[in-house]
Amino acid sequence: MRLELRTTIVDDVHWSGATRLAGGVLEIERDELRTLILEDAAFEDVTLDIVRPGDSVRIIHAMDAAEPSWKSDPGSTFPTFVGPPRTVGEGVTHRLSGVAVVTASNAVAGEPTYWREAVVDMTGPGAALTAFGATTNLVLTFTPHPSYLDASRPDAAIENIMVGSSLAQRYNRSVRVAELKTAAYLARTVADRQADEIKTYELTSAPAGLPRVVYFYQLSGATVYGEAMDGMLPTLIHPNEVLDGAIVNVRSNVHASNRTSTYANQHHGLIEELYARHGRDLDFRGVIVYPAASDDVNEKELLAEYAVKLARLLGADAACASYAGGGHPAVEFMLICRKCERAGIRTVLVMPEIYGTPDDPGFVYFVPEAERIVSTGRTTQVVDLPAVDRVIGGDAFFDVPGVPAEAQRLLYRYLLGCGTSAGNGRLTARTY
Amino acid sequence: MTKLRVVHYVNQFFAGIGGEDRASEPPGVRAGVVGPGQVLQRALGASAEVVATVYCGDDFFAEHEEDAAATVVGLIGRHQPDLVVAGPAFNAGRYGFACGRICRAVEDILEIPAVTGMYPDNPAVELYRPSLYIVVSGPNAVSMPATLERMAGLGLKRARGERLGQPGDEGYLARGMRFTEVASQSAAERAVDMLLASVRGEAWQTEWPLPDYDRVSPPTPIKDIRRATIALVTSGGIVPKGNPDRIESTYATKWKKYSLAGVAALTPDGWQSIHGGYDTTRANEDPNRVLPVDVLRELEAEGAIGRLLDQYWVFVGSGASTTNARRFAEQMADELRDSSVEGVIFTAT
Repeated sequence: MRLELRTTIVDDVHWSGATRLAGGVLEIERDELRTLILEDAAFEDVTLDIVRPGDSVRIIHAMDAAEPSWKSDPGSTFPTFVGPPRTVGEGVTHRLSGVAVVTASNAVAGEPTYWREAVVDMTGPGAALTAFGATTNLVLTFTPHPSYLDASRPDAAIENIMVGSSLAQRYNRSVRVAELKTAAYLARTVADRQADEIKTYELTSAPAGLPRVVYFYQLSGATVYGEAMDGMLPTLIHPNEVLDGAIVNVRSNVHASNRTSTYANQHHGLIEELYARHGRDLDFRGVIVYPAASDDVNEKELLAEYAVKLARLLGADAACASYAGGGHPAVEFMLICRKCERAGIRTVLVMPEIYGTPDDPGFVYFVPEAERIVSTGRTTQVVDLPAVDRVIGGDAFFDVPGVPAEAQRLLYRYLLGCGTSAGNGRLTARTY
Repeated sequence: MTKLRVVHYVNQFFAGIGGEDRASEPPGVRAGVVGPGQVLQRALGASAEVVATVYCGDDFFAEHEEDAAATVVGLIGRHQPDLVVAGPAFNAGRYGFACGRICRAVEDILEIPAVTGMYPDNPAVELYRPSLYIVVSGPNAVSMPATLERMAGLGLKRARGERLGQPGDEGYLARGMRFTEVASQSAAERAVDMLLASVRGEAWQTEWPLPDYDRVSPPTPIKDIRRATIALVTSGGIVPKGNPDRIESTYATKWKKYSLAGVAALTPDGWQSIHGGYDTTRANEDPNRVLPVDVLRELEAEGAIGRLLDQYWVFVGSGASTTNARRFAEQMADELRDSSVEGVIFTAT
């Protein structure tokens, strides 16, 4: 599979009478975009804001983010969300870099808010910790249709607190569809334009003797081609598919720091790094995706067995594995490490530290084989953020005391994407 | 800039009073530097002054620890120091325990920083390492100058409220505290570097060392279960409806005890789970699924157990730190012991 990513660099974003790219400036016709988004009856209204790096702005209630992307044949733009269910990861994809579409909304009936708060600061130390502090963001703040706020509806009942009511799940999906439609709408403007950068991704055959590396990608709150993987066995995916819109975040109930947004999948740190060294330092054999949150010990064992079996089929002798966060997912994650090591596959684990206090050893679960760990930071440490002039996305935090516009002492946990185990960020933790 | 005031603590030997024969010397104080204090003063330089040296015999301190610590801290406090330097104690056990105890008391009572130095095998290290900055010394006084140099450097940084470097760089024993920092490379770059180094047989270092947990040995079996009083303890977050004591759903800082007197079985109207780490739907439908009061009452009625204790203990395991969990366990274990139960059924989720 050969993917050609054609990137147009966007210097700024403005409202305009027509949606187009003009001299490095992305111009957007606001009403046309509003109409496109409000095609979905899930929304009563949407507010559109453009915020830039350095602006005194705090986005709260962030749900997901995506980079504008458009794909002509073969393939499909964000398959099953925007385009038809076709395999992506090959052909040509147009991207706008320097821009992100960020979605935000209040919670709807039956949507748990404990894990929901996600903050993006455009200025100060918070901005430096997330990709979205360096992009010009088109923020879509949705007002749900009143029917989505009716807690007495049968489908507003919470069957499972981790995912919320079926109503909340539908709403979250609608938000992603609107986000990705917007991302496609914006990137389509450059479909006929000469790109600023062209980068090709292909797993060409690597010289013999290089370590054969696979990546175990633990998903949480994400779909693969629109399918939640809950209850499924691990499966193979080509790294190009991940970079090309096959994996979409659909659930906001993952701590913001660890939430691997759709944007973070499009720029997946570990996949980019393994690709960068493919053929030179290593032989990148592929990606094994698997769901988190099975709570049955036999299922965990089976899942780990099956994932490692796939790695062996790929001839792996080394692996990177990332952890989605949470309690249960730690078990299958560590079991994969153990079974890999026992099968002679060296593993490096990439994981956030999610425990409460600095003096805690910090593992939900571990195996003695987990000798090589890269930390993406202790998410329960606080960071001081300045007061801001403007807050977008909502009026009050979920489950966090304080007024959003004021100076905040917030846990890293609330900063969108700062410690994702996709490895995009630079956070770590050290022992003192 | 005014000079920082430093008080140095040493034992009777380093105070020049005498060896083992004078180990029963009670606490005392001398103005300015004594013995190794000269080396300390040189290491501190011009910005700080050793204003007093407080001493105590090692045996005296060990035999009257409470009183000796109070006296020593009183003598130290009188000199209004900005920093206390204790030792180094090298591999001397009694001296090490005295330095550790005094540094702890200084930080807790006087609320000023303290620094000590010990050889890593000193028996006091295990007790004080998590809560004190202990500079690594050699086993004996040969390492005195180098150790005091590092103790002075670390002490000055602490007294000035400066950020400390990594344990290996600063020369102190890691306390096991994990702090988030920004690295120079992305996690992805670091991961692939570590993997390749490992595969190539080159040096690599984990960023997150695995912990070394206590092992708990099982107690002896209950002699006669038919006469035994059995208690229930749960980490599953089952509380009276409404969570009257506001136990946290995750990262819990407290536990509670509730009465089961007259309760034949838990009902969804009266009880709920407030646990933030699992799907509590089934637990809320029937709280006995997590805290099996119904079954234990049946066993009690059948005579299969002596009786169910009329109270249970509850906390939430979700993300609770092991420090808090250890404290919960110690406090609950004390109460369980006092309530003369012979067995405990611990339900987790």
